[in-house]
Amino acid sequence: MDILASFELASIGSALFAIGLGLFVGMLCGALPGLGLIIAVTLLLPLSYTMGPVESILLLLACYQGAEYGGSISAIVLGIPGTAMAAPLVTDGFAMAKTESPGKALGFSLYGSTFGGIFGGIVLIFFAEPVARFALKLADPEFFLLGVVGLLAVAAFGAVDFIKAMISVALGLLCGMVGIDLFSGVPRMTMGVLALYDGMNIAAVAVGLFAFSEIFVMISAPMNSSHTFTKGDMRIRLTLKEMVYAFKAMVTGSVVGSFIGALPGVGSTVSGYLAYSGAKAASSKPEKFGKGSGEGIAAPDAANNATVGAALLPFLALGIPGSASIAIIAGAFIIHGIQPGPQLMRNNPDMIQAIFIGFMATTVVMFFMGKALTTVFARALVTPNAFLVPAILISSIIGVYSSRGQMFDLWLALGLGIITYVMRRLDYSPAGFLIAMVLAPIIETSFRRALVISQGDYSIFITRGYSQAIAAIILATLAYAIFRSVRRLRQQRAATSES
Amino acid sequence: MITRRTLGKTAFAGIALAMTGTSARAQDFPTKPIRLIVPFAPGGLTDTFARAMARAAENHLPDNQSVVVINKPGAGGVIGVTEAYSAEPDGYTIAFVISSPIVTQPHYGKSVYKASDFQPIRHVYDIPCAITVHTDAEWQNVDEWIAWMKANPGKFTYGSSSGPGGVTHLLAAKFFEAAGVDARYVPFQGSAPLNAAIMGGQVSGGSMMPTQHSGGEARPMVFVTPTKPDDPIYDDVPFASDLGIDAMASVFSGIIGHKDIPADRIAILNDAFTAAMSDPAVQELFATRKLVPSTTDNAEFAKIIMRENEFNGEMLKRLGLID
Repeated sequence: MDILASFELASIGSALFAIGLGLFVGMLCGALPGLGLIIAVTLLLPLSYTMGPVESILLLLACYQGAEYGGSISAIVLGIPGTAMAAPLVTDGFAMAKTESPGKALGFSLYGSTFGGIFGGIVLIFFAEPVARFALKLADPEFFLLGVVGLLAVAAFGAVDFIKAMISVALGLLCGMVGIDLFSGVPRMTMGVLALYDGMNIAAVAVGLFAFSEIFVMISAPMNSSHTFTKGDMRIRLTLKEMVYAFKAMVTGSVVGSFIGALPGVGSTVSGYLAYSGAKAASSKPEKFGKGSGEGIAAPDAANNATVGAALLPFLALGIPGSASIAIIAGAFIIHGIQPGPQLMRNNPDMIQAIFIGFMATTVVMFFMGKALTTVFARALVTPNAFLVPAILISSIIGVYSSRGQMFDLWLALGLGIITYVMRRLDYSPAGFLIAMVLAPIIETSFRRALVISQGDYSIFITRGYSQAIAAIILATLAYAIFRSVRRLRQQRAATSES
Repeated sequence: MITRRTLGKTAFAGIALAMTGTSARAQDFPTKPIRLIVPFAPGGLTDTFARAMARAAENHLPDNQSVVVINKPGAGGVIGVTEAYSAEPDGYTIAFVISSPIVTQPHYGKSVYKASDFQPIRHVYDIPCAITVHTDAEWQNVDEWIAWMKANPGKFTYGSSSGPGGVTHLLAAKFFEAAGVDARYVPFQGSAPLNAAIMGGQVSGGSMMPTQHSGGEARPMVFVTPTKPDDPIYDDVPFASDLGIDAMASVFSGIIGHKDIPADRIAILNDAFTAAMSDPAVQELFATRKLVPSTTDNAEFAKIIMRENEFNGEMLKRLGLID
């Protein structure tokens, strides 16, 4: 047991403290709409400088895990995802919390998160090097096709009005193009506003789309009403049967999350949406999705947390930080004089082992902390809106402003909130808008760069082995969708002709 | 009518006026925390150094005043530098920058400031930049490589860590132009995706700070800056000037402030940050990042800024990126 030997008793205590603190700050910032992962990590960064290297890294990783889970809490109890990452489960989570049992909805979320966290951890520990190597082989043509797969996932959201869902996607793609064009250096649709040069701030968009629009819904209803639940419904518990039922969704979510997480620059918002549509396709009860399906909660949450372990893998194995949050954690490595990369695994195996053990411990601690703390959060559901609305507003405004320190972002969030409030009443799809906006830069950059590399030869998208595989998946999905709708149409016709 | 409010204002102005006689004296600065703006997101090289320098400088400022790091990322650093430019030039708002938002971006005419609107406070280090290729690339030395590129015009593709028109792009473009070879530029943003692309074989090379000393799988062929990372692994890699190719410029990193900050305050800040550079924590950071601490004084730093400003403007015009 030389793995355990690398952990002394004293260091176990301080490591557990770091994990607990990181999880708490992460969950809190994740659950408060507007505040998010980046703010949580930035808050803890100065503190991490005073800790030992292992503790400081575990602190930040625990914060990452906590924020991925925390965002789901508010998505379920308020209908407002605390972070963009939690947006995919808002429909099902909120529906189940209101109509069935908030405890059960939070249970699906917590069990899904824990499962995904452990799955991502296992992938990280055992397959870091091969998976990171494989991810490197995927190049722009594949990223482009993956982006298209992501857009297809929107179809799974069971839009009330298909045309309006497509319009939402188109608007999202358009907004995703705002900012400096990487290829020409020309600012697009920025109207001279410097704050738009890097594109629309995702924190502001998420708050506008979900928090502000939901607040407008809340204040147009009686402000003193609140839901009432029995005590048992508030407790976070899943029966064995429910766990078995959600198992398939958790596995789907974890696999999707681990794969997407290992790709640099894609992120957990995309993986959550893909996991949702994947779980719906694999489910035996797809009709429940969108109306409070436990699978629809567990799958994206498993994906979010599996992304954490997977996102670490190109960083630890190859020294490439794949996302903004991993880049901040990279800073903590460097401040302690540790250079991440292949050498780290070779030169500091003790430290890597300690990080791996700590990472697994994080998911376990998260489960118990989640059980204890989430009941407190769930009380938000029984709190009258007159108290909730100001609290959500304050948290959202602080979060949006502190994410980049730009006043403009607040106006953007407010504007989007008003537009979304109207559009939601007209059955447009905020989810379609968000995923399109997140995917637009990935799709555009990879499409154009692939063509720059191939010198304008379009065959680059179908001549590479990996892209052929992805293109085949796209075609199969489309064919299956057409087959299904044709069959449904026939059944309908048969039914009407009989009657 | 004198309201209580205007009375208060007048009284305040009076006190302020009475104080100007003494406030110009050096020992009255700083009387409150100094804001050190980092125009990039937390966690990067610039941010890491800024935070270490800020903490170390606090021990060397009069009254141990604190230095607060404020991240203002966006628009390639222009947003943060604009903030340092628009702040009151009293020495309480300064910025830890790299060269590009100061000497590259203003040429596009999108910033409200010019390079000459700032004055140097402390040069900290130069960022070494090399043209790197995959570790397993067929070229063993720079001569083989240049000969190959001459024989295969347009076959060598490269990206740059700073994006098109950024300083690492300009340095590489100047090198290829001076070497008389035709290499093809592929836009990337940031060294992480560029590194991944080189390791995955998407592009043949990249212009960036090499990471071979930390196990990175990109091998530098030639340095296009006058500095190298402080590691023996790079001893055999030549500078462009060693090849008789005149294509070198420095990518500076340091602390600057508005040009109207009084000279005595600049001197206090310069003393504190100069002392901070020999702080053990900062020294350790230099050692792990393999960077060479600068010994350049402010007169020389000012010259470097203006020289790089001129070089960038010229190159951007030649590449057709600006008129």
